[in-house]
Amino acid sequence: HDIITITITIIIIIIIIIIIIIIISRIGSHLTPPDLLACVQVSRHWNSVLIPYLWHTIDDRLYSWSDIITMHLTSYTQHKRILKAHQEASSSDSSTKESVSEVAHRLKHMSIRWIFGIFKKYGHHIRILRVSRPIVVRVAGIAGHCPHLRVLTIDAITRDTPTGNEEEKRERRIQDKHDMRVWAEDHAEHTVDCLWLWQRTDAEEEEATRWWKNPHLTDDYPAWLYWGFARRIWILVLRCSTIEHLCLGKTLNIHSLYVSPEFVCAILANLPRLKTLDNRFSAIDLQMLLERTSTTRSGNCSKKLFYHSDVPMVHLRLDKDFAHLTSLAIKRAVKSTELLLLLKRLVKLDQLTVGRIDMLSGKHPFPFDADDSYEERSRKFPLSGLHLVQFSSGYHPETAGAHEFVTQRLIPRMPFLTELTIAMITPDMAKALVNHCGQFRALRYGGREERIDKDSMSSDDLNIVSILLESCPNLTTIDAIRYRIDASYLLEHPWVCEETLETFRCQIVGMDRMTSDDYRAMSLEQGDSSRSMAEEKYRRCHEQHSRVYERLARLTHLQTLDLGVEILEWSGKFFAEGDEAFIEVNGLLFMDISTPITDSLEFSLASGLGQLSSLKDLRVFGIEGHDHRIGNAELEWIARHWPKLAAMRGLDFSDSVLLAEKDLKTAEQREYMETLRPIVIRNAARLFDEYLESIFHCRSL
Amino acid sequence: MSAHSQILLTSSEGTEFLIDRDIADKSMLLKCMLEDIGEIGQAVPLPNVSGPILTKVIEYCTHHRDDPNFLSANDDVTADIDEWDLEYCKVDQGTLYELILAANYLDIKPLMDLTCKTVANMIKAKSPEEIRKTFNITNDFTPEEEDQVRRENGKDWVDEH
Repeated sequence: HDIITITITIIIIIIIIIIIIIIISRIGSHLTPPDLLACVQVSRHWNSVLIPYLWHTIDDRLYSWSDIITMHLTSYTQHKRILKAHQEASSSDSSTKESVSEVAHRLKHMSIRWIFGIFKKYGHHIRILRVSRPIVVRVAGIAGHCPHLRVLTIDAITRDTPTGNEEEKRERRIQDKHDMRVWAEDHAEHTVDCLWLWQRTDAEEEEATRWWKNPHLTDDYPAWLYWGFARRIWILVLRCSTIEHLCLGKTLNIHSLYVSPEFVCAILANLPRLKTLDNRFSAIDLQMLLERTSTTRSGNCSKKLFYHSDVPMVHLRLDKDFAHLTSLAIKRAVKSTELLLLLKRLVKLDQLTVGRIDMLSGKHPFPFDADDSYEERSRKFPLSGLHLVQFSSGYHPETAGAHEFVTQRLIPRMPFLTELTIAMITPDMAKALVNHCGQFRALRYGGREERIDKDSMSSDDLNIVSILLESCPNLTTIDAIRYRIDASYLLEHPWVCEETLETFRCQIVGMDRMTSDDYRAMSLEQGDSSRSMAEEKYRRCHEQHSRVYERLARLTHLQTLDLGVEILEWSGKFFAEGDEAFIEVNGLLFMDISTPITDSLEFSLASGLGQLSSLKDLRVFGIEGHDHRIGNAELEWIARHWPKLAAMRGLDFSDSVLLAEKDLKTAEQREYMETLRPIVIRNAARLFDEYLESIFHCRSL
Repeated sequence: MSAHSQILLTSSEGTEFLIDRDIADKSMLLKCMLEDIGEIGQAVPLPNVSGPILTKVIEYCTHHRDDPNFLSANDDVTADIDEWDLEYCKVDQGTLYELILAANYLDIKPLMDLTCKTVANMIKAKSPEEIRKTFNITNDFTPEEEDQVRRENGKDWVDEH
């Protein structure tokens, strides 16, 4: 009986310990490294549980990493300044009277030793490593043991100015050679594929020798220093065979001179778990890359390849089918012929992001038939997401005909398409989506590099998105704020997606609105013709508002209702001293602060805002640039009836000093909303940033 | 099974709570149990949860009963805490810890995340000594060990939030 009691007690204790570990771990997952550092010093138990969280992610641009490494790398003068301050602070203690240079020297070595120590002792906890400092690349590659690393980002490489005297440089070089030899012995089996790692050309040797003899020969880095660093990078990549996501940033391109595409592909072939490659530094032949990465041990593991390259000559032509690539993003423009060939060869491609589609080769446009002549047109593409992130909204010679190409050649062959990102959707394109893509769900506005110009704001834009709303029963997202629907048109055309729509970012225009003169007229004497006319207008406005609200109120799953204009870029302008300020919006639209868009919905309670109380899931509400007539009563209503509201776009318009002075009313409203729902105001700016972020970065990742 | 069926729960003191099935389903423990054995018509005993804590848990689940993103709501560790949730967590430390234990026992992930995030907020910007004082933890490091932990993990970390 005693044994059973003891056993049960032990089991209970173990369970309690496990629960405590789970809880401390959960708490730790919500903390950042500086707070985690305090936690690991609390007790032995906290230390053992939270150390893995502390070293889970290393980003050498954050926290003390940045400081410590900067200290190591900064010039002697800066060291001197920092250390002088340090010494002055402790001048009372005569034992600290070391020379500045001695302290600097000691600290530098301490920092390097510290980084080495971290990688050696805690490397097995590191899952995410973002490096930009050459010293960290060096240490992580040679001393580091990161057997569980999943994400490696090498980007924003800083120039590691060679420091120290001749002796130190020589020491470093000897150390490099030693490290390489030890590593090569340990990893002999890999070196067969990676001869480039060890070989330096005669020319490089010669340059290295020359530079070594006279370091002041040139202000530029010698090639062998670049090569040495490039080699370190690839050693780091090669040593971390558990990498699933690899980002090779743009700043590496200076080092790409020292590696061939074959070499990079050979390294990548040694990463059996690689799922995502974000290549921004070098033009690698796509076919070679796919051939090398398709034969990894991962078997049927799906791969996403973010193929980002601004190098125009990158070769995208594929000679055979590849089935392991599910997502491809190419930032630059792609020729229509290249695109068709890619879609044909990448037989399981699900998401495709490209900059834009070019229809021209030199001065001669490709006729459509020539684009497509090498394959049967009936062949369908399995794509579910097509994202044209820099698609032109205005006229560009290269893209003339691209919209027709998308409408006539792409969309009809994409029966599974559910998402389209594009800057300009035409009525024909919308109809093609309705006719050929039965499961279509989301239209998003893409393209941020261009201004909204007069040409692209033609009346043709009006009501285009309504084609989708009227005919796509599964539509969840209309994220196209620059498009407009006329209120009268809206009331005559019912939507089939009322049950599914979650995001509606689109302007509703053409609303009848009462002016202040109208209101004044309503207070005139009975029988006055102006009063009768004003009263008639009031009834008309009220009825129209009520009907539009009634339509919106049916969208009970709506999480985002953003009817405001999109402020992509704006600035205040004074044309002459003493003039009223104008705002230049989106490069063109001039908007007097006192005259916002007036034919939009009025969001006062008097106009029927209360009808929208059915939108219980609403998280984002936008009225940017509207004459919205929201006052304190409306804000109170919003705070009460939309409990999940997390951001409101339109009250943060007065963020600049200029507008803060002018638009006092908005500032007051914002202050009031902050007392009611602080989170709504706090998130508004973040929401805008995130939106821009989502546009600038391809969505497929 | 009726969509509006109700479940009877019994707290550790024997207090009974009648709640709607959809609210009970917010707890993965109850959901799986009810799916596996069906509704047996008897009270479900919860010996690890006291009455006042169960009342709080039910209050949380009732508030979030129609939340479509209930299970993914707190996945973003950097996200701000919702205002209602913030108010909900304004309780004494003892209650907060009991809520964490109850959320863990009943397997209600969003509540677990919320309460842990609240504790994490109590830790932020505090020194090790202040953390010990806040949570009544004994420092069992020897001075040498403490020094080593500081040195190894970088004693000069700077918060650059």
